[in-house]
Amino acid sequence: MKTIYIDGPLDAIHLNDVKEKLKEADAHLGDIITLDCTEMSYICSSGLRVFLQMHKDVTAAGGRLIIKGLQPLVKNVFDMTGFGQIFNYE
Amino acid sequence: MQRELILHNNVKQIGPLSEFIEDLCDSLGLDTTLTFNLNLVLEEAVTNVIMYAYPQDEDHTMTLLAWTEKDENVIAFELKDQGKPFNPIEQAPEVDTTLSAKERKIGGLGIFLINQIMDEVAYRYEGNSNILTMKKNIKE
Repeated sequence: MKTIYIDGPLDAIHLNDVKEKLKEADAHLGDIITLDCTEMSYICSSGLRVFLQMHKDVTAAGGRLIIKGLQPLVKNVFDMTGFGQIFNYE
Repeated sequence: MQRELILHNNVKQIGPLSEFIEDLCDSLGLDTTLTFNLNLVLEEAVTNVIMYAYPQDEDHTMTLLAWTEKDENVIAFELKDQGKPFNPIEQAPEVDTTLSAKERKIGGLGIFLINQIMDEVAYRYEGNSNILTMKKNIKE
């Protein structure tokens, strides 16, 4: 089990910081990884792409990615793009 | 009402862009959902220009115009840059939201979100400029 906390807005400015943070998961890809998004106030399409890539990497390694605590307006962005069905939520 | 914002082709400009949109939405009394979504639309449109219109190592600007129409029932934006011709509507790949994660391609989501949120999206190339116009009804 590995939990990574994403906070603040996931916009183009903060994208690289978040990518850097997600590297914490590299040694745990075959495991259950939770992205705790309780404090994530915003997401743009580049952020969604990072999450999708992460999901692909974790799944390919036999692990499971869980997205936790999405704020309603952020969840709406996931739903608009069909990502609502792709991820496991908690 | 009409407002204008000049932005450079640097992702750090998302900061002033976001302030501009929030201030605009505030003055029109728009709710947090609409403000959030318009912020997203403009970030996607501006990021597209930053990423694709100009070489990354050159400093250029783009102009964002915002105005209201039909007795403030519609908010309209026009984003204009002098970069290489790029029609984001035509060149955006198809996004199939019903596919599974494994099948989903990484990309094309920005313009897809713009189309989802806005009621009217149009592109034209005129006088050496890319001009993207986006409108949304703000009084349901």
